[in-house]
Amino acid sequence: MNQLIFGRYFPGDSFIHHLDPRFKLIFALIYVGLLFFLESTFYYLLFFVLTLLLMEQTGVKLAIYVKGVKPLIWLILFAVTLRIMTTSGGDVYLRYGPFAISSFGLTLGLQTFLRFVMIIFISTVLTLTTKPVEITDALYFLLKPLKYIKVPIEDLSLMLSIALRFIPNLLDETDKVMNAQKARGMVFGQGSLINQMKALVPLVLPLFQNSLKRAEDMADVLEVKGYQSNQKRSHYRELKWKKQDVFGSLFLLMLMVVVFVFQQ
Amino acid sequence: MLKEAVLTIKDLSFRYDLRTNDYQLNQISLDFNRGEWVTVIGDNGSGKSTLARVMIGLYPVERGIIQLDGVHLSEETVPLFRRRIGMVFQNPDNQFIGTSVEDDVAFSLENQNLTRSDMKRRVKEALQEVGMWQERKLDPQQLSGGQKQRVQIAGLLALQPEIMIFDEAFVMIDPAARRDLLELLHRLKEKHHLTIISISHEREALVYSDRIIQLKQGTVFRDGSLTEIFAADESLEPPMVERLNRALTARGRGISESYLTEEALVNFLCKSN
Ligand SMILES: Nc1ncnc2c1ncn2[C@@H]1O[C@H](COP(=O)(O)OP(=O)(O)OP(=O)(O)O)[C@@H](O)[C@H]1O
Ligand SMILES: [Mg+2]
Repeated sequence: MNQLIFGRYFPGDSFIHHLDPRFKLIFALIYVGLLFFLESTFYYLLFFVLTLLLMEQTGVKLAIYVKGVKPLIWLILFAVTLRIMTTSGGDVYLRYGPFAISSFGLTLGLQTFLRFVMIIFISTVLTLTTKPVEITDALYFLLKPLKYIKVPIEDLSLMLSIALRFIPNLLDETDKVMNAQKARGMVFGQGSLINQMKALVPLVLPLFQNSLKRAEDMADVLEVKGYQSNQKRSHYRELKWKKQDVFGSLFLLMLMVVVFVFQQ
Repeated sequence: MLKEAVLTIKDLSFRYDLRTNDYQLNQISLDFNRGEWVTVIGDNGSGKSTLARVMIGLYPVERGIIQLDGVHLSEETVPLFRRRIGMVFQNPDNQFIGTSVEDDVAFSLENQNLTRSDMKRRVKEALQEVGMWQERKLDPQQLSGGQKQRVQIAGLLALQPEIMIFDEAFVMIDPAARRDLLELLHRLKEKHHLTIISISHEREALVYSDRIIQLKQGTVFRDGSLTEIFAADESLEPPMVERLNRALTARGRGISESYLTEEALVNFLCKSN
């Protein structure tokens, strides 16, 4: 359960930790977008090195990032293989029916691999260095204009932050219930699929009940503390655009120039 | 001290299911006085939580009236009631909205649309009053049960309410922390002239009560001072101080009713020798 890396915050004191979450969110989005405009392996490698440098900056060990890629590795390899097999052109090394392994295919395969890994790495950089509540605040800020077309941004961001707040609780509870059931002789992850599913019922049921009770309690608390949908509320936490965010923006601009001007 | 009713309930009846004739609260009339600590006791299902919830407008009043400083509770006045009456629930884990201590205290202030500087000041004051300012940046999960409820109290204090309701809020806390918490609450009550309505069976909580209300099947069964209530009902186990008082009275050496905390009693006994 607790091996989930993506979406976890690692407290730290790096330059990246101190950047404005709005900037980091936008940076990650644009960075990922740029990856789809890269044309040659040289630029892929350039961005890959850059990604590694950013990861290095966070002060979090490389192994942690690699762990984040692991759960997705089969999906990535599948996509890469498909890419290799279905691309033709250049020198052909091997042919089997409609499939062939060619030099073009290998190049595209490598690029696909790098792109996938970079997307995961850069989103991990974002989530490792930014508290969930900061991400919520940033999303709230960036989506605020949608208020004018009656999207309930206030409610949505509160929902998101409460949900994020309870994920650790839920994981703890899962552990507890699992241990309790194990103590009663329950075995998880063994036997036929049907049996495995059956074993999950006594696990899921208490979790579900707890969550319902919690949801009820939270609804009362929200009301008692004076929360109302559609009301005008102020915000205690403040996002501050600082000098380093200006530098960051310039850096981002430079990357865009590299991709859209130099690359051509 | 002159008694001044801050919250008045008249002929309140309430049922969850409007289709049945089964009332969970039946013809309740009560006055809560300013600066009073009222403990509500009663068997499981006697309607304690229901009463508390109706008072703060979580359920609509069907029959009877509830008045806060002369203002009737209705759909329009619910926000006013929420601002002036705070409530803390039983489970400390399910009451945090904010992801840090200070964010949580600020939440109810944000709902009042206060300015940031005002919020900052109030959050700081409230957290200092409950002794949790050092912990302001912590994740609620890092706190003990007692600390969690302290933060909840700070959340109420920040709104500067008149009444605080506690629904079994001291149950899930270990005895030592509970004593500290109650003592703190007593101090805050005196300082801010708060009215405390506490649903609680813990002896430590009874000690501070000026008055005890016992509910039975949705009606007010008894309403009186600690001594009166315990004298009337043999099945209730009174707090140690009260038992001592009785034992002394039985030997012709009764002590005044006002020495209800252990500390006050000890002081009294030491002085009288
Ligand atoms: N949400 C609800 N819907 C329907 N009936 C309810 C609901 N909540 C409570 N009741 C019923 O109302 C009555 C009073 O319940 P209430 O929770 O107010 O009692 P209580 O004195 O707080 O008990 P406890 O000591 O167990 O907390 C009970 O008979 C209960 O079954
Ligand atoms: Mg109750």
